[in-house]
Amino acid sequence: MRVASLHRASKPSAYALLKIRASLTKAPFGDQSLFKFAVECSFSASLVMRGKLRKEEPVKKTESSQEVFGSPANAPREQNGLEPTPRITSSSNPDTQVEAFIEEVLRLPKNAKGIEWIQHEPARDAQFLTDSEDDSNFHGLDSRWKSYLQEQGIHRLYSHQGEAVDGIREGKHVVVVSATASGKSLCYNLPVLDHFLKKGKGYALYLFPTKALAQDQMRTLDGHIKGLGLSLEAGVFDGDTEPHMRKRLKQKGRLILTNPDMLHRSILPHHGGWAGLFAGLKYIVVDEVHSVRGIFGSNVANVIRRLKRIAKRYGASPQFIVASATISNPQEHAESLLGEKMQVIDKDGSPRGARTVVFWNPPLVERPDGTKYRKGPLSVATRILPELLERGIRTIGFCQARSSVELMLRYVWDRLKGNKSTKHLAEKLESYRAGYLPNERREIERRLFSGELLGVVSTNALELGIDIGGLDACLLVGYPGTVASFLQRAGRAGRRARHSLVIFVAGSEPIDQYFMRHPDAFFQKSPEAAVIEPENPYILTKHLICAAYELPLTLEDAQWFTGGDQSLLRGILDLLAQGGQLKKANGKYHYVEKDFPAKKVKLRTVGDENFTIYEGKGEKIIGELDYVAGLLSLYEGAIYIHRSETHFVEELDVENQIARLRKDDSGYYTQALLQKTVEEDQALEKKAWPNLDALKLSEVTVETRITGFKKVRFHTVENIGYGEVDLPPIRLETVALHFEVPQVLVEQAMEFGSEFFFSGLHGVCRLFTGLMPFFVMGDPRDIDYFIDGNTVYIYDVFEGGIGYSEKAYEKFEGILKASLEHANSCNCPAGCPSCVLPSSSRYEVALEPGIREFPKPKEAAKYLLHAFLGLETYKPNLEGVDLAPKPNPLEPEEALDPQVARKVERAMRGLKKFGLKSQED
Amino acid sequence: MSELKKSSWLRLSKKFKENAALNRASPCPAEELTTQPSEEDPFLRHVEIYSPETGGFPSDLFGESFLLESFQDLCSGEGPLVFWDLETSGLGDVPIFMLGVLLYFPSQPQAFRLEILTAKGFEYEEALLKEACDFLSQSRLWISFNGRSFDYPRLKKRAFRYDLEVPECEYHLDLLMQVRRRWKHDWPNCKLGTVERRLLNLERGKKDVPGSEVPERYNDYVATKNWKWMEPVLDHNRRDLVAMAVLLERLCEFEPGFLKDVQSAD
Repeated sequence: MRVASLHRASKPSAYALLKIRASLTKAPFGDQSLFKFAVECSFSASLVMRGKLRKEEPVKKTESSQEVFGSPANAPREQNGLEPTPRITSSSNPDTQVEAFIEEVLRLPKNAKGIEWIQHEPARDAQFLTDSEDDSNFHGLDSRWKSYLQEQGIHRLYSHQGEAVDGIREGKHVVVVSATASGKSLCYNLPVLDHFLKKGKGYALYLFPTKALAQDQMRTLDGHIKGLGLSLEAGVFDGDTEPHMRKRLKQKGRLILTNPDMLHRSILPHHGGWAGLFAGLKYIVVDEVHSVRGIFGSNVANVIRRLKRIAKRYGASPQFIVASATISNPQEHAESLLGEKMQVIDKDGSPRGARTVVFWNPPLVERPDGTKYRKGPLSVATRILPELLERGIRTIGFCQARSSVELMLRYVWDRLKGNKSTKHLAEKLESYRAGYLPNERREIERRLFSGELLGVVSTNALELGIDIGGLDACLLVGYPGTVASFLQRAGRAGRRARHSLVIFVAGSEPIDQYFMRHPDAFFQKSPEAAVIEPENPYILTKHLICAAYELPLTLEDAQWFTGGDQSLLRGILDLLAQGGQLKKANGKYHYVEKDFPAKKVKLRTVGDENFTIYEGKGEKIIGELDYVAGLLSLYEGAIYIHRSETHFVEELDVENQIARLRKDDSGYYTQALLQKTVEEDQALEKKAWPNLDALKLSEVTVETRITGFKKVRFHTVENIGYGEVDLPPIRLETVALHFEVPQVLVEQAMEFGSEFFFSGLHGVCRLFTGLMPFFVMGDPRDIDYFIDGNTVYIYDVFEGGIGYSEKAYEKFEGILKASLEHANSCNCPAGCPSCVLPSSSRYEVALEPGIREFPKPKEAAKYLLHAFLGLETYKPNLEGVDLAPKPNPLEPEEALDPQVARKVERAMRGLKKFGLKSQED
Repeated sequence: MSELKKSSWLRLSKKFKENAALNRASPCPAEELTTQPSEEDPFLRHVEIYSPETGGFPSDLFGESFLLESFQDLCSGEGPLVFWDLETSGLGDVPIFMLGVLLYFPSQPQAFRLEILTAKGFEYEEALLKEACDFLSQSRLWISFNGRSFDYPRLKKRAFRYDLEVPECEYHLDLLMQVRRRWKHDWPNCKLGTVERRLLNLERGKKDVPGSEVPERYNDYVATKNWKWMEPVLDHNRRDLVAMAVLLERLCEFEPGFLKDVQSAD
């Protein structure tokens, strides 16, 4: 631990203060020994916790709790999520195991020097709405609920569950914001099933962002339905549903679990077949709404507007119950997504065990030539994970990439199998990621849930709320990109109100390293906002066409789609009528084409899993991958790792989307080498700009070509050879805002060195794309940039473009000004992830080290921003930088805004051009 | 159906043919009133009157012209009758583009009025359905062939799209059900064409379009606005309607009180 961190530690973080305020005496451990222990170990001198905090923290002893469950030892409070408590065969108590790990392992000198930060968050007690110990009323729920919950050991509802039940009864639309494992699904299952218990009629529709979540919730629901003695036809309706089950659900289903894609493509267009559902629709549940953002979110918002419109025609006005993980704007987001006034319930009443968060930086090591480099996060993670497992600590490891998941599993297995005493543990560790077969994934989920597995290494595939039972520790290998995602993943540990452990092992990305240097900055950062724009003309236009297919559109429909603005709706519809997409008759707009518009409209930017992976000559399928991932990891000669086993790719048939592999113990793995290019296809708009060779908006093709691959030896990471690849490039036809920095300015900037110029240009792009989402109402993940020499491209990561870079073109000056303001007001000395450093590792083509490690990126960015804004030349402060010169390298109706009209036209063209790639769900 | 009864049916069919031959003796062209549509008209309206004055049912339907002389005696007493038949642009929840009705008013014995409306585009389905609802509400007895399980549910489903109210009928006589009840076991199928051949001694010419071609022809018409695609479809619909009237007369002829019986039995 460096002295510097001691110094910093004198400033207690708001986050820690907030956390520590929770009650101590009510900690679910019978006596206070755990807290004492935790305080002792976390705050112990050897681990250097913030001394000032320890002394001054107003640790209040709150009033004695209304302990509901008798002796805490057998109090299954965590079961308010109705999960059975998995038991570990080990006789040890995981609490003491986590504590022992903190005490014994982290204390070791070899570990302690990598640990940059330890933070302890004390336990939080359960919160209830009523004071009564015997809450016999159960918020007015049916007596069958009451006896069923009591059988499950639940005698009272947590405050957020109670508030949800009350809010729904009062007829409000409700959004519940709570952490993983807080009994969130009961918030919607309670009122919905209660309605079925009491009324015996009506219908409910549950929407989950993924198929796996729907399946998972179906299992929970089945348990409730049986336990309550309800006779209720409920089922999952998605792309995997068998035809006979589809028919059955259409005819008899009362509670349908599905996903937005299926609603969009199957249920809404064929609403006639679901007449019963739409006529009697009482509740719509949308889970994990925080993940319904960006382009996907804007699309789903329109699907929901279509759903409400159809339901209205059948005479139903359903109530919404939605659940979200922590984001900074739950109310705004839910209201914009659903188009309803929402009641927010954000006081999570579930109990929480104490939690220790550790920031761990892999060591700097010296190369033979004397230069230093930082070891990768896997080097630490693969060493720590076996130690956790050996102590019986149930752990989930999160990696950023699928390939890292496989590498980590392999390395940890090697380590465990290499020792007689730990050999048996290898069977208790599995990997989990997209690309495995569904039944393989279900099996891993089941084994995790039952406690058969002690650990799992996963990508973000396990980030959303699939119930995998209680875990004790979470190992984050690399920064996940956002605070919200970090918290989601960390929330996977600590389900059972026990002491949990979160270890964040930093990668070499600038943001990882920044947080290692400034851990308090991380804890002060609030989770990101979810942003959507349902009225984005590109998105709205496509959904209006789908809506017209479902029922002819009239101007009355402005209430659903344009917030009541009839002239805007008329303008768009007339344009569509002129373009021949719709036909106008008797004041209504009809869809008259033979084809099926919803098939052409994709809700997501990510493709489907469609490469099938065969092992051997036969028909044995071992996995499936989406198109882009398939090209990037299944090129001929690649080593594809599946659950730690290496396979040699013998054949990749791109046309038929088949890969043939053979098992091969290669001793190495492969990494694709990529080259990105942007080609301007058609200029759309152009305007003059000071100090730039004009600002342009064009249709472009972004091509990512796999130029070859390198072979990397396991463990040593030695480069042992190259291979060639002949594959079609991955093409993205989209719209880009682009400009060229004029030669004069390039030369002026180069006087400070070429790194100054390029680092500055990257800094400008990061600032610009970082702030752009607020100006264009988009999600950062849907925007990317590319620098080609002195030309900058900022483009929409969406086939055909979605209007983001177009809006940025319109608001260019505003975004530039905001960028400069932001750089000026950021109080970091030289540049940080909040300003000029990238916030995540989504850039496929790595920067050269010279640019990446330029010590004053903010100064360079400010220099260029001043120039682009036509301000006085900025004098950069480059103290300490080696400045040795280096070598240089249709007519709308009057009501419609012409800009909107142009977008609608482009969206129509896009639909014709890109629409043919249908997705099968 | 017993053998005996069946043979008597055949005998009677022959007699019908003779009657028809008699009618042929006084040929008179049917009046055709295809109105000249204005641009705003959502559909084309084709009207024909079949009466002794106009020469009865014309020969282009089934090869010879004829009158249903005893229709008045056998089938009336029920107020106005509406025979109806829809054409749709395919299977599933797809638009209705053609409505054919054959109206019979007891006040004008032996006279039928045929009206066939064709929507000029898919966007005019709504106007067509409105018209259909108006026609249907004129009568308390509807007669169709497979209308109970096809035309009526389809009409309701499509009308829902436009928020239109479809009238309910006091009695909807589905002739297909009646035919099935009687000849299901004797005939390979109970399609209208089979009924015409086996029961009514009528034969459609080779010109009759198969039902499967109908949607494609309408698409071609909408795309080209050339009426030639639709002519055979219109004839198909005319024949269906007229065959229904002939079939009803047959049934009433063989089973006196048929109309009363089916209504009370159902």
